[in-house]
Amino acid sequence: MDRTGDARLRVTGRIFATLMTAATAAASPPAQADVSPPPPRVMSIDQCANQYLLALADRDQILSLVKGGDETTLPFLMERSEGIPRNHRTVEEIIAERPDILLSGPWSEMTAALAKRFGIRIVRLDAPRAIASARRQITDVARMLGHEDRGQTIAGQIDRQLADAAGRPASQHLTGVVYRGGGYAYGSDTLVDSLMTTAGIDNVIARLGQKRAGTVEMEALITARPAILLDDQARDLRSPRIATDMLAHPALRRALPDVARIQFPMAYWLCGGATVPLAIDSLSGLVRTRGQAPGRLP
Amino acid sequence: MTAIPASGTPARLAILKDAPLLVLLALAVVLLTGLSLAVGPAPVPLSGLIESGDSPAAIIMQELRLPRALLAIAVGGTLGLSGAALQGLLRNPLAEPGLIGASSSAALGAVLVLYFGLYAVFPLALPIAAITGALAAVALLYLFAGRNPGAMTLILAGIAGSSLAGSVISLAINLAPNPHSAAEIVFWLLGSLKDRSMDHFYLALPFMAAGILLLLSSGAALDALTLGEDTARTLGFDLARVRCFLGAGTALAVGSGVAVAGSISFVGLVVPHILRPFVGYQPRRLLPASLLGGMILLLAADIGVRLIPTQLELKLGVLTALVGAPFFLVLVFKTRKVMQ
Repeated sequence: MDRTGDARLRVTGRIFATLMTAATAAASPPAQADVSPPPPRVMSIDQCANQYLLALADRDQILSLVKGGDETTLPFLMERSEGIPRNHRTVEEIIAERPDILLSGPWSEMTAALAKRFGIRIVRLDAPRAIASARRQITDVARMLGHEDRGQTIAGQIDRQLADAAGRPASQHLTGVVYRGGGYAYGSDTLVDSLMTTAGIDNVIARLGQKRAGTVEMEALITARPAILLDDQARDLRSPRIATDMLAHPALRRALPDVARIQFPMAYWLCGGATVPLAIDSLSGLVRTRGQAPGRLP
Repeated sequence: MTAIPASGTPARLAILKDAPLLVLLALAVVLLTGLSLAVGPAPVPLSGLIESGDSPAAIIMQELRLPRALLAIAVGGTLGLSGAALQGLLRNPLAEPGLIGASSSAALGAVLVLYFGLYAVFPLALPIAAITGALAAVALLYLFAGRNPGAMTLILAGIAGSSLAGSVISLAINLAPNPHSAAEIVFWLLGSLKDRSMDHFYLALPFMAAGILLLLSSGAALDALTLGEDTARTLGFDLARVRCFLGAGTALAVGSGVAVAGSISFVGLVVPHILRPFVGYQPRRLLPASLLGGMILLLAADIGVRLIPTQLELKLGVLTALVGAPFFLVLVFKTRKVMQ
């Protein structure tokens, strides 16, 4: 008896609240009889999904972002995350917040699967492996969040950059590689490769026949003689690093004495999203400087 | 310490007797060193080794393949030797730097130095921490297992030491601020000689040389120990000193190896076992043979990881473990009567 009474009270309360909201919305100027549904309330349990929400959603749409990933988020996005609650990727939090959409990723499958059983709508974002799929993901997420225009703006930027790249003669291309501690490098079929190519850098690792990311032998790198050595671990100068003396290896110093070594934040290519046009701009800027002064550090 | 040969064969005679075996092993080392220098993704002639100038061939040979081959020789040799010495000291065929926890404790020391960024400031901290870790493991073993440990006590003490080191390494991985740092620690632990430099070799060499000398000098005492501790003592051996020498020697050898190559297991178990029948089951004669045998095994394994086609790099420590673990299993099966 008691419980039913309680429940009824709560339901009445909710209806009342909804009516009130509707009333205020209707009363608020300009009364345009806007019938489009309110933008969905979203929650993210994936660090990359965090970035998509920060770039594309309204602040009051975001119920919470997952904790962590701050080091691999560019400052312009980090600024927007101030004051937004953080969750710990638990189903308890998801049920309590009841988002309209839960954004998950490849590392939170178990949590997402459980949340789905409670009737939560799950949208999983995977890291794109090329600019084309990154662009599609941006417009898809923007549309889903009710902000198609924002997605189109970023997509338009990317389209212009792709057109620029198509017009650039191959003679202006430089050879380069993303090589980090432990000998880890990106081959073909990665967003990094796609970004490099668009920016005018021929990825020597892809040319060596390596697909996806993995370790490469230093001697293969020496034989390929890249003009640019990008280290994308600018993020963690303070974090523990192992085997980074690899980049100071005497063989690299001797074989590539005037290679341009450039520290680059991994945040540019970790998730795709709004960082894509920034990465292309910054990389192609590099090619321009480097192309004008061959053999010297930019 | 008076070096009275315990089991009848004077030292000089033993060397003469083993001369054909040692020459054969040494020849294999030379052959495999040549092969190790010749194998790699880039087609580079061996002449690059003596070429002056900065051609890719010279750089690849001098800065990449030479240190790789030298490190395989140094690390493999010390691992084989310390396995033989430990088996002699503990009079137990299952003793091995990895099994008694010395390798994982050395890895812990190295991981801590790398984790807190000490290596960048002070490179010597890496071998010193790894040697200290290995030394702690050997000390722990004595504390737990006493002077004359049975196979069971030895293995259990080893497991305890390894677990302790492993748990702290797990803590470091757990608390790594980002998945990339965690992955770096994990991959480093798998053990590899890929893309090391001569700096690594020079860093480890003095410690390894000291370890090898300590271990080789204890041969006569190991022979005496086969007759029991009391007999060894009456023959004039100071056993406390022998243990101290062998413990320190093992720690120096294993610690410096782990510091530059990560964890490489089972070399110290496999090599002495294969060679023991060829040296008349005499611990002293086993020492130089195991030194060369370890070099052969690790050189071969390191050539193997380069020749076995895998999409991602096959780690040296993974290969030795894949070969060594079944070997260990067979060995346990054979000695299970002793274990009971």
